[in-house]
This record gives sequence, C-alpha cells and structure tokens, in this order.
Amino acid sequence: MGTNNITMNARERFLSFSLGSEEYAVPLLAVREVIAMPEYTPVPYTPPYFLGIMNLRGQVISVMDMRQKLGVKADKNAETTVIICDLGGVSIGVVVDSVNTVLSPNPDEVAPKPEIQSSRATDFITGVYRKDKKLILFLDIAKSLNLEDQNAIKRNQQTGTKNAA
Amino acid sequence: MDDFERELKVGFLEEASQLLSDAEQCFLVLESNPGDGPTLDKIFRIAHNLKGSSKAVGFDDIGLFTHKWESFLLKLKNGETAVTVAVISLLLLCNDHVRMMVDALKQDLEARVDSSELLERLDSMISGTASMEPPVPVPESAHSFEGIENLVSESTEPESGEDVHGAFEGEPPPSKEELELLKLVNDSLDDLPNPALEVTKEEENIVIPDPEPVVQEMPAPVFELKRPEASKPVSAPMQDESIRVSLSRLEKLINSVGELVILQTVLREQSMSGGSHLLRKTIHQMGKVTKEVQDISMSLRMVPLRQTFQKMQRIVRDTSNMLDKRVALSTQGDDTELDKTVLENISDPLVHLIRNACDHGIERPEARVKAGKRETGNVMLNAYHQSGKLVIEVKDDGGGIDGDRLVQKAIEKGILKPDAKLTREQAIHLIFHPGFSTKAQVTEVSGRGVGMDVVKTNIEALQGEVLVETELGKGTTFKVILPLTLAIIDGMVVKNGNSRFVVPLSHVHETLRPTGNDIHASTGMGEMLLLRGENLPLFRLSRLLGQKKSEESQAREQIAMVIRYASRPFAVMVDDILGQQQVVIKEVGPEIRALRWMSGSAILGDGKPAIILEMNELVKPEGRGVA
Repeated sequence: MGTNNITMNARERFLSFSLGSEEYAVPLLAVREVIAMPEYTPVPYTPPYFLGIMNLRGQVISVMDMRQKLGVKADKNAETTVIICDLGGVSIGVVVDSVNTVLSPNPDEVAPKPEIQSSRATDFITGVYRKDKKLILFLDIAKSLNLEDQNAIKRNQQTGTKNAA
Repeated sequence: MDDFERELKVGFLEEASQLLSDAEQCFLVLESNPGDGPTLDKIFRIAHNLKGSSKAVGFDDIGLFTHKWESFLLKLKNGETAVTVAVISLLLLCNDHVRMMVDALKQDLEARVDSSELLERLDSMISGTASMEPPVPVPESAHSFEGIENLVSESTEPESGEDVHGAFEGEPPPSKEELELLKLVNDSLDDLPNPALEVTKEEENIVIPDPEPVVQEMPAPVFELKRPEASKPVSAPMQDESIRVSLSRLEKLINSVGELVILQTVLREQSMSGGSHLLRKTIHQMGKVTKEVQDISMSLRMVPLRQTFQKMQRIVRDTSNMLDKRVALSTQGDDTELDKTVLENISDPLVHLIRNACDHGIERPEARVKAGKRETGNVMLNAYHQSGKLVIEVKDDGGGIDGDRLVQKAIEKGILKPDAKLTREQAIHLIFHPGFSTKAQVTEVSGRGVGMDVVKTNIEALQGEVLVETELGKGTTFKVILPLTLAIIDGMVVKNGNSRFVVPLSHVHETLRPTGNDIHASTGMGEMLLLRGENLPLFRLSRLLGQKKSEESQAREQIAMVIRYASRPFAVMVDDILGQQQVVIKEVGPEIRALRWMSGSAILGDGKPAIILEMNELVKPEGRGVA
C-alpha cells in the first residue's frame, strides 16, 4: 500500500470521508470507485461489522462497515456511501457516512501518529493531518480491516459453533 | 547477469520446454514408423534449434549435450544407424535429460547437471561401436532414475492447451507477457496434488528393462521409407490462427458478460410492462445476441484434450516396457473440449488409470496367447460429450476384474467381515477402497493400493464420477464422467426467512414435505425424520446458520431436503424451494474463504448475490470452523 511512506512521496493524494463526526482518509490509489449503498446479502458466522456480500457488476465482493469496525457512532443524516477499495487485487466495499474530498497534503503537514498509551490497537493509523481546525486520520485499510478480520471470523466461528451445537 | 540476459535465458527455457514436448511426440511417432523421413527431419531441426539457442544465451551444458544429440540424430537421418526401440529409448532418455536440465535451470539459472554418462553412451553410439548391436542395458544409475522421475513429473503437468509453437528456427522468443502467463501456469502446477510422483519416489532402484525382445520385431527401417503423406502428422499446424490471452483477462470478460445477461433480463422484464413495439423487438434481438456472446465467452475457457492424450502415449510406452508387456494405446476424440481447470486436474487421475490398465488390466503376453488373444494388449482412450457432460473412457482388453477375488482379498485384509455378502457391483467397487490392491506382487508400476481411491477422490473433487464396467477375461472399462465446466452448476434455490441460498442440485437426493408424524424429536438425539423406514438426522437451516429463535421463520410448512452425497445421509428443513437454475459460481474474497460451509456465491436473476451452501460442512459441528 505504501501508506507508511507518505512522508517520502512528495504529494500522495488521499480520499477523505466522514465516520460520524470524525474525519478519516485513505490513499486515493487504493480506491477503485465510490458507490451508493448497494443491496447486500448477509453472511452468517461473521463479525457484526461484516455486512455481507454484494454484486459489483458481476463480481461478488465483501461489504464491511467501517463505523462499526472502529466503534464510531453512525451519522443518521448521512447518505451512507461505499468506497470500493482495491487491496492488492482483492476488492472490498467499505461503508462510510459520506465521502468528502480529495486531499493532497504537503508532506510536512502530516505528522506521525502520536504515541498514546492505549488499550486500543492503533497500528492502522499511518498519520495525522491537521487541516484548518480539523484533525484527519490516515488509515491503512488492509490493516484496519483485512488481516484482523480473518482472525475475527475464525474467533467468531469457534464461538458460533458452540452455540449452534 | 543483467535483466536483458536474464530475460533471454528465461525465454529460451520456456521455448525449450515446448520444443522438448514436440520432440517427444516425434520420437514416439518414429518408434511406430521408423522410416519416417519428415519426422526425422523435424527432430533434427528441433535439436539443432535447441543447440543454437542454448549456446546463444550461454547455457553451454545444454549446448554441448544437444550438439552430441544432434550428431547422433544426423547418423539416424543419413541412415547410418538403424532406428530401433533401443535407439528410441536412448533418444527419449536424452529428451528427459535435457528437460531435466531445463527444469533445473528454471529453478536456478546457474544450475549445472552432470551429463557425462549419457554423453558417453551417445559417443559410443555415434562412433558406431554399439550401433548395430543390441543396446547396452541401462546401468542402474542415477540417470535412469532421473529419467523416470522426469517422466512422471511431466505426466502430471496440466495441458496448457496452446497450439504447437516454436518448432522452427527463427521463431522469436515468447514475449514478456507470455512468459508471465506461462509462469502463472507453472506456479499453479506446484499446488497440484501429485500422487503419481509420490509413487515413483520410492522406486529408486528401477532399472529400465532391456528392450531387446522387442527389437526383433521391428522392421528394418531401410525398407520402410514411406511417402511423406503416409506419415502420421504429429502436431499438424493449426489451420485457425490463434492468440494467447491471459486467463485473468478471460475471467474479466466472462464476468462482464454475466452481468450483461442479468441486465438484459431486467431490461426485458421492464419492456414487457410497457414501451413501444420497436423497443420490445430490439430488446428481443439483443437477447439473442447476448445469449450468443455468453456462449462464446464460456467456450473460451474450453481446450481440447489432444495434448493430454498425447502424453498418455509416452506413459503407456514406458509402463509397458517396464513391465515387459506389449500394449498399444489408441485414442479417440482428441478434439473433445473441456474446461481448462477440469483438464488440469484430470491429468493425474488419467495417468493412474492408464498405468493401472497396463499393469493390472493387460495380462502377460503368454497368458494372452493362451486365452486366444493377440499378444499385444490394447488400451483405448476415448472421449466424448454425452448429455452435457464429458465422458472419458479408459478401456483395456485384458483379464477383467474378478469380483470374488476382490472379496476374498478384502476379507484377508480385514476390510470386510468374513460373512459379508456383496453384490457383484459392490465387490468391484472394492478397488476404490483405500489401501486395497489385488495384485499378488507389488510392482514398480502399481499395486500398492494408493491409486484408485486417490483417483476416485480427485475425480469427485471435480464434481465428477467414475464407473467401472468389467467382464472376466474380456477387459475393463473405466468411465470418468465430468462436468464440462466448473464455472457453472445446476443449483436449487431455497428460501429461508428472507434469505435465499443455492444448494448444488447434485447434492440433493430428494425433497419432501414431511407431516407431523414423520418428525420425531428427542432431547438426546435431536430431531429425526422418518423416511420409508429410515431414520435420518434432521437439521433446520435457520439453526444451522446460527439464527436466533426470534429470527426463525414462522413458516408452517417447511420442506425437507434429503442429502445423501455425504458419508452419512441427513435431511435439512428449509422454508421453501424457489426453483432450479444454472448458476455461475463466483468466488468470494479471501477474507471469508475460510468459511468452509460456503463453497462460493452466485448472482441470482435479480442481481443479488446468494451463498452456495456446502451442506455436508454445515452440519458438522466443526464444519463451520476453519481447516
């Protein structure tokens, strides 16, 4: 993804979006397209933020709710948009409240994420960008969703198995 | 080594592999028709080409070896040395050796392989000391083993289905994209199960049998000069021009076409409820074109069986030589096409069946004569389409399978109880039992009982089946029935609550609407379905899918699907069956591929995806977990 090297690329561009009242951004190169919330089919034995599978012009891809994943309260008035991300050949739909704008920050405006002693994993945040008076967090989508999800699914399955049996 | 040089070398190696396959075919043709001038010319050109290009890119080992090889071929071409079975064996050994060098270089561009022993043999043949005498038996050497191992590993290669290419000089090396494509194909090879190789790895002490007895039968080549048109074309140049396309691009096309079909359906439904006559007519016509485009796009993944069948010639030759039997292979239906993925996975089981036919099927020459048959046994490989399926028959005119002996053997081995009563069919199916072999002696070729059950499993993994027809004393036919493609299945669309699911039709044995008396619930056993005197465990789909009681459907009359493809039959209750339809299987992302009860997804007529259920996994308590 190369998002860790943002300070090295002179002008990498990011797509910013809102989750509730917070603002996040992902590298624009990882974004395939942005679509309205599609119909999706739920898949049992998956974590709650795994909404299901959808049909993207003949391709079946997974849809995940970034708000639930990060524990952000959804903005009820927002239209709900899906960002289709391309993570190394795998497409994933990421549900967000609304897509805002494309940023191309000056490298020196992006600070590394502050070291915070916290119980929450923050390794998916690659940088912090202060724009006007707002703070925008840069996300590594693969880290925030993909790798962890596989483990989450496995965990969920084990517990689900017990319940069903 | 700079990139350019590396690219040249890799290009050469790919080209060489192709040339070696061509050469192998030529050798086999030459064996059945020793005086075939054009074939000799072709082999000579191939060797010359290999020598030239290998030296040009700096593979001196191959250059040196092929130079010797070429000199030997020149002697054959000029008629100074007769083409005997021994000569062909040596040529094939050389072919395997070069292939081994090429394979080693593919792994590591600096790899070196010792060729001194084969070089010596070639030298002695060239200098004429050994040429007219019966050939020296191959010593028990590393080389002979390498040759065999090579042959086996080669036999497990899937067919690329591309037409013959690069047999002549001056052909440009494959482009970078082609190489990547080939590399992809090669990479996927490594993942294939390789039972054949496992078998041979234990056979380190195989000696290539002295082929002398057969030599006497060979006609003197000098008098056999045939007209070129009389010779069998090995790899007739394709009349159709062709183009290589990467598989991923094809997949994209097929996906888009699938979407087109769905949109077309929506459009047609819309036009029914309104719109002008012209609009409806246009949409109707568009429907026809769309259907045709879909058919064509699906056919793009189809490749002919020809190359797989050609490889079997070599398997039969080497197997029968090793066993000191005489077996002729005839093939029919080489042009029959099937899906590339199916083809890649059917090669292994076919090799097993062919080797099995040579070893267990065909009797020893003396026994055949006694039984009033011709000394040479026949193995027939026949492929054809039948009611939307592909059938491959492996037929031999050997001794047939003795059901009684199988039962006796099974009892001895403790597979069956001594008082077991089996029907003839059941007895013959014992050959598919793991760890079963009737041959008194374990041979190098087969007899360890690791073949047939693997064959059966592999074929069933392709949604296919194997049938056996056998008559004692007359022969055996194995019928492998395969779906034409793995991309489409016949599915049953079922409804549960508000969700729809697809169950492969081949998994559903029957469906019924049970009445209250048919279902018995007990605390210890759960629910049971009483079906014609049989007690089947009964599951409810909603509970299998982990839905809570409150979400459970209130449908009064549910339908039970009886599933029997699994080792133990069971029944699953669903709310309703919506219908049967052909569905295109869509892979799901890796993030949910760990769910084993979900074998994929399919896009239904309204454009929404549905999950394809693997019931057998779903009912296992551990089935919902990951492997």
